[in-house]
Amino acid sequence: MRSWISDLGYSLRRLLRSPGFTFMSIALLALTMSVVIVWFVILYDTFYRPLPYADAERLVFVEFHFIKENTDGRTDAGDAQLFAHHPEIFERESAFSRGLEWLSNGPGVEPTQLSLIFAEPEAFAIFEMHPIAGRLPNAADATARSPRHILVTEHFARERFGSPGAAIGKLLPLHSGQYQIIGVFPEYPLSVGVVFWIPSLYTPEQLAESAGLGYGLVSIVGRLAPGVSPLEASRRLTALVTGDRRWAGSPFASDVQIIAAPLRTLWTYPQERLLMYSLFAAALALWLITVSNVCNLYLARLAGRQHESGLMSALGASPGRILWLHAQDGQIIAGAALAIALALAAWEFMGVRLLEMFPGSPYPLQLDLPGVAFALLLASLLAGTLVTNAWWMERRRAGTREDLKIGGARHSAPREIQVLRTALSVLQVTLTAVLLVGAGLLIRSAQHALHLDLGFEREHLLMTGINMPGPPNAVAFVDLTNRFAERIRALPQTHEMTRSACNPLAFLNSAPYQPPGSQDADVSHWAVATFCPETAANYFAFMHTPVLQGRPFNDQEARDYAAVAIVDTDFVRKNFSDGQALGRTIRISGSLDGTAMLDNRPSDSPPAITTLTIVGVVSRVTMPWAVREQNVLGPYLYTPGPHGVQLLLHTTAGLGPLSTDLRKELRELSPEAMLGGTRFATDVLDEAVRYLYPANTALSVLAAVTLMLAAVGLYAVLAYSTQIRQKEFAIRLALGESPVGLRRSVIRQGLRSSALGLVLAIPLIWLTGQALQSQLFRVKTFDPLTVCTVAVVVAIATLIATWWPARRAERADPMLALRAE
Amino acid sequence: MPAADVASRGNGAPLIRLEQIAKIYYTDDLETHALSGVQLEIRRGEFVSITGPSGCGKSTLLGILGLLDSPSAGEYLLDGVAVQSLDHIERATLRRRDIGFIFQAFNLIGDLTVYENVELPLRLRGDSSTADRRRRTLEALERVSMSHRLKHYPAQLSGGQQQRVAVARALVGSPSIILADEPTGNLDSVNGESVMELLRELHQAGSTLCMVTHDPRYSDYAERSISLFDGRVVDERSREEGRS
Repeated sequence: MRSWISDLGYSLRRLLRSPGFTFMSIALLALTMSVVIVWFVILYDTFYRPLPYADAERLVFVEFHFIKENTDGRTDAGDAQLFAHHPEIFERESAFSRGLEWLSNGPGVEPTQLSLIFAEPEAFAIFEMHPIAGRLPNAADATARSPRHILVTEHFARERFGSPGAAIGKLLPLHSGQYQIIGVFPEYPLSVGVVFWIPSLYTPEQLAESAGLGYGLVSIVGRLAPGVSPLEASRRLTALVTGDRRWAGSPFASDVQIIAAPLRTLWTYPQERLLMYSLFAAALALWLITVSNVCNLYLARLAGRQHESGLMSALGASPGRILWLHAQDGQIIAGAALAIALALAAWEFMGVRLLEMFPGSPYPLQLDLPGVAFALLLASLLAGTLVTNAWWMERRRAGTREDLKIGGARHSAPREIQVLRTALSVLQVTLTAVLLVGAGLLIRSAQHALHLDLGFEREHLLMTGINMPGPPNAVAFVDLTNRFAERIRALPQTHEMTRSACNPLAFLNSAPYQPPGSQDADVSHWAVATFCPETAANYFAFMHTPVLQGRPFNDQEARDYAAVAIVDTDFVRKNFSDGQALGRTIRISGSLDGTAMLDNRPSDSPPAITTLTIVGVVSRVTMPWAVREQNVLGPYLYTPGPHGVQLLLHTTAGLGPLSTDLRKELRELSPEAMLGGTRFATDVLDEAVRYLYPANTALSVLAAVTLMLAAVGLYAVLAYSTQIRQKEFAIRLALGESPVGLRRSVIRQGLRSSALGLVLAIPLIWLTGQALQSQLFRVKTFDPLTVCTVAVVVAIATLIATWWPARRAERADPMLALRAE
Repeated sequence: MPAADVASRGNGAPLIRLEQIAKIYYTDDLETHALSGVQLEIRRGEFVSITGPSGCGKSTLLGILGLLDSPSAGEYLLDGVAVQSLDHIERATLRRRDIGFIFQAFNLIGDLTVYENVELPLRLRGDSSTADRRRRTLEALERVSMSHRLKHYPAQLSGGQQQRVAVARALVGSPSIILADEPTGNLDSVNGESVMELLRELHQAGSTLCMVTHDPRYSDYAERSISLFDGRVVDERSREEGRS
């Protein structure tokens, strides 16, 4: 043991005598290792970490898909009712929906907004949730009133009440009423960020008087019946939906597909999977290249210690003992790199969480046991590789006498190793260029999307509205919205205001229309338009959406629900070959009164058929969420009305203070009503772009790290090369080379490596562009601007990396040429 | 070149003139006088040897003569030009134009072939065409009998062969003077004699040579021998004087 400690101390001292090699190797290894660890955890948690449920493979999430548009819809309460009680498909089935609630913090204090889940009691059983205090909810809890029943997270219980046990039975003053805590849950993978669970039922009876539960988006999960495959379940569910009366006669019926997808699809998409694997592979390659570089430096270091090996051998050390001493360096490097990498990874996870890179991850992203195990594996591989190097060098020793002849001078690594090292630095530049171009293409796409002309003026445009707890009452809702709109209009911060039943920032409706010239009365054969009823007279002027032909609606038309329409250019192009739409009539299936849209409970009466006269043509607008696939949205058709529940205003006020004012105004009108989504158009667009390009931030960070590593790698190769070439430089100086010439030669060496790396990157860049094609927006797969920018960035990084080695070459002492070995 | 011409060149203005040259090294609080008050003249066509024991300042003097180092004091005139005030670039220009080096450890560049090593001084000058460089390089290698090893790397040659290549590299640019630092120091006696014969031939062909050696056998090849001790010139005698 004492001998081991003594050897360890000796190795440490030797490493500290070469601080450049030691610290650079450890720093580079730790940095790249931490990136690989972080990506491993993200991948593992997202795709492979076992879900904490028995028979997890039988758990499915029901997805709504539109085949022709290749887009996903969402299931609602009606679907939940439809899928219930089908033992031939589900052994168990349940529904839940997400929402937000305001927790009162006392008089005069701003309430806190918290995330919650309305879930049927069956959902708790499906997800095998067990309270750490209190009990699981049952059907009686879902129907309980005054106080209603609620379950909370352990964290919340501890923070508010001191312990989970102390929270049981306590009352929580939420915006929608008083809730009594009946259970406390630990944090579950599928409910990261959720604080409350409210037991609910999605039956028609309960929906009629459900607390805080509407007809909005409802997620459906189920455990498949034994022997039923997800494919078979999908087929049966699709048949159920298309055969349902809600879809009878709808032109969408043949377009609908219900997919029983594995539970993991709740948080991942196929294109994200490809992207995440690519990023992990890139990070791993980066680490391997760093390991290779360190191995190379290590080999050069071992080569320089042949004299020491010879001396130790002469003093009686066995080959095994010499190998052990040399190998200890590698173990110390690997151990130090591991420790720093784990610390760095913890910081990087904080960054990942802070930047919300993977908001949908099922587990909280943090350094967990699998991450630490993977880190240990990486460190073991690293230590093993370094020890193998030491073993290889020990085997290459010519003999004690020859080693002693070397005289202890520092020797360069063998020529083939130098070539290998240069090749590795070239490869590193290649990889960097590919990553930079990939990141550049996506960033340019995102920039294009951000600056896309949406067809309306986005600056200072704020959308707002109200949410009503309790059973939906369309008339009361519209009445409250009318009064709220008047209050908003009177606010000094409001410069201008308009209303509509839908707006391109948040919500669009659709309606079948009879194509002009068609005599087919079957609505299911009609085309589908993006339908915006309840459009105020000032809507187009407010939105700065140009009226290209005809005129906007007038106040009278808006008040009277006049049978007139304004269509967009896409509608004209698709339906009027002569381009003349003004004065033409069209028939639509749907009510002009937007109040009907609010009450979407199943109805036996067929939708009304209305004939409209086109009075104007406007330019096309785009939803921020659909910038990449604008064709998904049908042609637009607007009809006038006075009661649009989507409120839009122009204001220069900040979101925070304005929201507070709006909330105050609303509270005065109705203590129960809650302020709906209140956001600026620019924020919505920004969020949409971040949603469309979820990996942009991660890719950019990785590309930047790669660039830095490539520069450092190139620096290391050149710095070491410059160091071992000092004699050569002295000879060149003696032969008449100028110092400036030497500096240029080193810079040329670096630039040559980078240029070669860039040339080798070209086919890979092309392949990367092809792989990213579906993600690109208005950017070519081989974008010359991006490629040239990357080349310049790499050249600048190379110049920076070569500067100091070049300076060192320039300062070589020519007298060295006169000194014999 | 006829012997008479050589003699007449030797009697002209000195190619090198050192006046009271001193070189002092400072390490921490220690001051080492490597050279003190060195007076020296070397005329064109001369073959001068500098001898002395280890540490007497031979290599320091050669470094100053070759413009690799600067004196701490004194004046150095190379072909009438005071060189101690020249900057790095001007000194490099003079080195590649007027000075050829032969080193004890050969100092061939391991990554370059024999041909590339010899061609290197011409490439650094940058004033000749590829064809001209090739002709002169091959001529130089012919003179040292190494033209059959053009594509070999230094590591593939014996010590004697490496030093022959080094000699070819020193003479390829037709420098004003060839400075040789212990050119036989790393060679056995047979190869040492062979290299000295080569230097003698160069001298007879008109080259000016200045050789540092600690071996009295080889200093006899020079016309004039200068002895250094503790950084001072303690003796200077011609070959004839030496023999007598």
